[in-house]
Amino acid sequence: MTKSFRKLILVVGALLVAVPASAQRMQIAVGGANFRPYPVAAPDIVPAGGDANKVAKELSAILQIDVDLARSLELVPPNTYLAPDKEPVTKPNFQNWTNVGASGLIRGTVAVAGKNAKINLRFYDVVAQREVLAREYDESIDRGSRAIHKFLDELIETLTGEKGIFSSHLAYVRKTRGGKAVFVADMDGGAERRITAEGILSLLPAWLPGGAGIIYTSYADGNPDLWRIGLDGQNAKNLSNQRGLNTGAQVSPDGRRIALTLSVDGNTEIYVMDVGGGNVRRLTDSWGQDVSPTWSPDGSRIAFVSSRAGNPHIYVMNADGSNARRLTFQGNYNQEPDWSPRAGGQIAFTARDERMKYDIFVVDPDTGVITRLTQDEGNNESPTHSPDGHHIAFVSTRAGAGGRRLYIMDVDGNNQRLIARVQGDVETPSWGPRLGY
Amino acid sequence: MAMQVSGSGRALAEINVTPMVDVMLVLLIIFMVTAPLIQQGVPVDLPQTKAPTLDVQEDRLVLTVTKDRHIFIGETEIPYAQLRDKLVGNTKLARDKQLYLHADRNLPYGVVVDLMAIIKDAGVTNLGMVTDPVQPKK
Repeated sequence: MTKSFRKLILVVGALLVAVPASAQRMQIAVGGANFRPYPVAAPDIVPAGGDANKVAKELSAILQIDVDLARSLELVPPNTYLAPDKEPVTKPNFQNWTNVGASGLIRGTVAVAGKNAKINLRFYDVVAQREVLAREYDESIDRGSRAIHKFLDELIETLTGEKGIFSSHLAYVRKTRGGKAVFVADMDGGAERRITAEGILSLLPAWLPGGAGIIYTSYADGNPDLWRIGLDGQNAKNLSNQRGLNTGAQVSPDGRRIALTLSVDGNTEIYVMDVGGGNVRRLTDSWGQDVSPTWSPDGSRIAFVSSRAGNPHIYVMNADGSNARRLTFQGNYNQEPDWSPRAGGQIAFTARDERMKYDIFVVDPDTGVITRLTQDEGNNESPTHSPDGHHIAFVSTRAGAGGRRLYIMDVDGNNQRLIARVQGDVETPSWGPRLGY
Repeated sequence: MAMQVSGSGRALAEINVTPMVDVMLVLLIIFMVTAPLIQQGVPVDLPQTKAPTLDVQEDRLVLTVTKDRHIFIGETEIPYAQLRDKLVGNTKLARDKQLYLHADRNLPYGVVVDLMAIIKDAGVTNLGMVTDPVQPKK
């Protein structure tokens, strides 16, 4: 469904944009009416010294996965390339790259010396037949992916005026021995590491600004309390241990406040507190369950889930708790809202339909207009926006065996891709900020 | 997967798609184009025709086949075994839906039709046959 829809967009786009724009005058208006992803060829990275064959192979795979993930780029299928394998990376035959439909070309080499990799990456505007970007990176051989991420972030900024998101990370929960733990990985699934202890139940991770750490709910002391921890898994610290639930916490965009769910009064309500855990104030007061707060991009409003009308629905209120109003009137089980960090952005949420299937939708916070993003492919849950608001990560059972797997799609539902390097069973991903390497 | 034995009354639910497939297969629009005077591509001996032709659009993908059956996409030779991979999935063809077949006049009809089937599978709907216009006799 979405795939054929994407093809349709490509065809319409091709009719509208008869002449492919060249990079020098191009600024791709991502998501605009005439938007068509920029077709880029990314042939294998060439080993250029030392024992580089294995590293070159790994980096080639990561490069192709990442170009395919980028919303502004479209990977021209590598099996269609015409250029001979030995084509010099500094002297591309542009006609061959035009003939496979590429408007851009990424070429790279890697030389290995001991534990170090020298990675050289270049971008060519195939239409204008010139080099646009050339960078050299020194990385350890097991983290050469950083060079790819840095290069693509800079390239996407050159093409769109907006930095890419390949240096951002995802936090999520996976089963471990005797419990569930919080893991952090690169946004493309690379370099996964567990940051909370095995053997206890840790849930619902969310990011502190600038990647200063993760806040999450843990049963370490027997009660679902709110904790924070560094990305290195050190300095775990309790932030809230009131009786009952201390859960669903989200940090405000300015990094000063945490909105969360407490049930200290016997009923679950939304509260806000300082980022250190003090100054707790109650925002909601309804007979229903009020859970899962998410901040608007400017921090002035909070969306949340409430069952005050009978079934769980998405509501919006001011950040001081005033003026709460119902946002969704369709469906009867809407939950897990995530507000796009983009100014004027939409709220993604999970809805259960009449067949008891879960799918991802977005709702405009001002008009209440709802758009469906996933359909007929298993259960799809727990949307989380990328820092630029162009992508949504979520979990899906569409692959069958392996339980819930991690997926990324464009914010309009196109381009749904499995993040294959992260095993199942994944829960509640949270997309974090770009981190400097 | 095991085939399910359908009960009576199921047969009507099956739509016979064969006629539709046939219609799809013949929906390849073929037209003739004149090669420009200066051939930048691989030289072949083109068929001559008096039929009206269109001028070549420079930016279309050109598939050249020489008399001894060497195949070129643009000016790069491709082994026949790889041709299907290179054309099906080609992003330019998916976008243009158009290809110019620049084949030698002495090639057997069977060879040309085989290529046309691959071209059709690559999503091409408009196939340009590159020809030499017959010069009026002086």
